[in-house]
Amino acid sequence: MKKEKKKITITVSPTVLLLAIIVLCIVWTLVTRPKKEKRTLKIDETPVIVDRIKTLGELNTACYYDELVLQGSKQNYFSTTPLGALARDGFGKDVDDHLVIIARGTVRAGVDLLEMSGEDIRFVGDTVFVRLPEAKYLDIIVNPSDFEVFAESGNWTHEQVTALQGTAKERLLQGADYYGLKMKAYEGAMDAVTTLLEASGYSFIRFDHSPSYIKLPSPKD
Amino acid sequence: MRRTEIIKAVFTLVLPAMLLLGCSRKSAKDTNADGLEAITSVKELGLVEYRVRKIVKADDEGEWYKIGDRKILFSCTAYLKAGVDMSSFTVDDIVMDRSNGKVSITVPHASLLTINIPSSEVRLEYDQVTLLRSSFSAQERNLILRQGEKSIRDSVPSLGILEKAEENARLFFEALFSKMGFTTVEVIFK
Repeated sequence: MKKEKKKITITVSPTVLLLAIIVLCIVWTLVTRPKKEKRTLKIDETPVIVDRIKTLGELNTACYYDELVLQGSKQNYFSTTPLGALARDGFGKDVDDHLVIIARGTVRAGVDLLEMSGEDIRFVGDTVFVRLPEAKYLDIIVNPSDFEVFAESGNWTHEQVTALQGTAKERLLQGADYYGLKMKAYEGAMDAVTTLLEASGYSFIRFDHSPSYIKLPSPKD
Repeated sequence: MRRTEIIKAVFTLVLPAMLLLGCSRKSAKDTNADGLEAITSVKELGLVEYRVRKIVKADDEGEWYKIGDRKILFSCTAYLKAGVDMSSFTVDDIVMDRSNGKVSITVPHASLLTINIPSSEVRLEYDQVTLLRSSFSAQERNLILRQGEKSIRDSVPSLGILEKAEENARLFFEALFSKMGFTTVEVIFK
């Protein structure tokens, strides 16, 4: 008895067929497309233009370093809607935009030797009388590489970020004041000038001017 | 049935555990910063400042699956200070011959002391984002500016700032020692 062959029929709907063709096309395109370089953010090379050259005579003797956390928050479109208000007031959800930046800054202090006139340094025998200018903050440095965006939600414009970053400067100065950076810079400047003058053969170096933040012992002491 | 349970277990226990471990490792690394003192003493003689301008521009075409592109352009001003580091300066670095009015001082070669790019002097000049792309985030803008900062640092040797600083150092020490009565001042950079 002859065995009957079973007929298997597969019915494919036109939609499935169409999808399969599309998938195949996509796969084919991806496989055969020429390998390009990874298309990421491209920073173009531009020249650095020197705008101004200034002669300095800054004796930098003390630096203050600190890490700060800068936090900013602002309302967004959703938080101003009734739904946002409900989420905030009714459920205690924070619906505002937030930006948290870590800033690592440096304050450099010292004396500006260009502020000295000819009378501020007098050589009498083996003694030198020096009147140093008051120490001041020479630089407050927080560069782009010193900022780290730790958390960011919502859209923050460049101006808003700059305003937040600007607060780092004030806080760094407060910290420098707290640690008495100017006084340390002045002491460092006296030390540096003493080393230089002693090396030049002078035995006695007298500083005959002291800024207000240096407390010298009174003659009675 | 059993396989499904295993898969569920993987997703419910192992993956969160891995994620947690990953997170804790990251935070441990973040807090492992080098110990730094708030105040440090230095002895640097800043002799010249260059104010430079730079355009920082970036073009983000995005990955193949992103439609449209983004462009951004900043202009920024940077202040570069160069001078000599006097921290290693000792008595031996000055050789005097008072009888002949000669003095010789040895100082280190000039170096870049600071680069300062105040955020208030970084201006966003142009920003273009096509409809289907998200705008530049604060983090992305910062990364672009970091590249600009690096580019400014890299350009230091070609700006001539170090040569200018050494020229000013020579003038500075000549003026100082002339006031002390020396007629010949030799400044050596080592």
